[in-house]
Amino acid sequence: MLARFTENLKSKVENFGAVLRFGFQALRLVATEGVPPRLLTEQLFECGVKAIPTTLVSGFFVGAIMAIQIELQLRNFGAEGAVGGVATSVTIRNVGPVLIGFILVGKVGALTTAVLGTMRVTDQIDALTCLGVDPIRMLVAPRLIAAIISCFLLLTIGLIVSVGGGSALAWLNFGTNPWHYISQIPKFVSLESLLTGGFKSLAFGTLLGSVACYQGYWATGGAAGVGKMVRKAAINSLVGIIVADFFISWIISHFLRGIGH
Amino acid sequence: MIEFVNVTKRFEAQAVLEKMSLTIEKGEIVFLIGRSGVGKSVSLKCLVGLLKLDAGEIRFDGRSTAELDEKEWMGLRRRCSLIFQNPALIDSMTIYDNLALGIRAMGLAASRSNERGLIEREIAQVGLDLSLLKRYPLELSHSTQKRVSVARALVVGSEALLFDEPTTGLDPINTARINQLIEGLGRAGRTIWVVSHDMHCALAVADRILLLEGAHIAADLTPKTIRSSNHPLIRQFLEEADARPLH
Ligand SMILES: Nc1ncnc2c1ncn2[C@@H]1O[C@H](COP(=O)(O)OP(=O)(O)O)[C@@H](O)[C@H]1O
Ligand SMILES: [Mg+2]
Repeated sequence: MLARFTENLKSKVENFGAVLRFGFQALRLVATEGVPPRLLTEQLFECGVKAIPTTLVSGFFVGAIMAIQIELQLRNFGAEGAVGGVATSVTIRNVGPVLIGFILVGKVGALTTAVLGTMRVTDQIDALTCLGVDPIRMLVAPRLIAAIISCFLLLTIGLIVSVGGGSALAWLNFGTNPWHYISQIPKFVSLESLLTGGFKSLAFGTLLGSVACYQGYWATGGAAGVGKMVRKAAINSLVGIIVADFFISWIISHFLRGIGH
Repeated sequence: MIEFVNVTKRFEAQAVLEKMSLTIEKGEIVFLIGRSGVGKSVSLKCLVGLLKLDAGEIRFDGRSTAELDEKEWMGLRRRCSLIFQNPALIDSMTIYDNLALGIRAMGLAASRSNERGLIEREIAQVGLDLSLLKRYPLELSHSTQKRVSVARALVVGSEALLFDEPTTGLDPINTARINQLIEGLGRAGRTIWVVSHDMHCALAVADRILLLEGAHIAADLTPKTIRSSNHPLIRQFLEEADARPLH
């Protein structure tokens, strides 16, 4: 039982190592040779633009939810005036990047794994190699870069909408003046929160892009195998994002304590 | 032109090829037959470098493939094209763009009109209509896609063509067409290596017929000598071929 658990854990860690190597291999290729612009534009459209509506809706409601929850907490301390600042800060540092990551796992991760997996099991990827085309450059690099850029841009869009959602709720529910709500934001949202959020979104984009591409790129076992890989990629990305969120938060909090915040 | 010297390829514990040796001369048409799962596709993939050998050596034109760098591999893959069992056309690209992939990656056309000329010539060579060039692979029948995949190999000017089960899954009419195409390409001087379990076709087209069994070449025959072979598998393949009506 324990042996099976450790065996399982070991294979998970190895798989994660392989995913990271694969992601870095693709990023190194981008650094040396760039990405074909037309392919990148195509993927940015697939990955980023198509996820905007979902981001708008989720962002708005997340802002509203955060406002409700945080107002309840702050009221006990008589600090409900700070709700806009606290809600936005938490959204930027944590909820936002994770949520955008999850949206992209569902919206593009699954599609990416399925497309690359199908290309693998029908020999399209090997055919590219035989024609002198580097499949990593043509298929993986544009998808990975698009995932990273999209994660960052969608976080920005989602945040703006969440401020809208939060202030609208606070106004309708608690009668808080929206301008007051917004004016609280700079008091709580430091440069460090912005950097944390931005860094997390880039990290999660890299993670979910690498996982989705890797699992598809190395799919085996025909259509059924591709199906399994799609599921595996989704689960690995979701768990990976949460674990990475913990480690990044932990490291940053230690770092900040270290420099005397 | 193609030489396998004691080639060994394993997948984990399973030895798919074990000290397999064979030689294919320039201009020959050679059929490699064998039961499914014995390693026929694996041997083709080893030749073009999609799989790495565990031991032994493959020589192409006298040069060991172990010495090749990335650029030289591209050169080999240009001179020696693998036509997969799946048509393996890129779904998201038109037929034209599929055919242009290799030309562009290998820098074979001086201009766009030069490129179009190459593509139109080979599409006609495989007996397809130029109007197909604007279509997408999944709009075409399987047998048409297969012929496009042959054209995609011809377009880069390969001297050697490797066919992985070119007629498996095709109806008799399209099987006959593909066989004629292969024979025509062979008679025109190209080196042809076909992996197949279609003994009918082998008897009609091949200069030589090799049997892959037990991880190595178990028989090396010609259509003339094959009838006198007493290898049980060869006999079985022959009986099966004789039982089917000619098409
Ligand atoms: N990439 C691979 N990984 C693991 N095993 C493989 C791989 N490719 C082929 N094999 C195994 O090698 C054996 C030979 O496969 P293959 O060459 O495709 O057979 P065939 O003679 O039908 O073309 C099979 O048992 C197959 O399962
Ligand atoms: Mg095969």
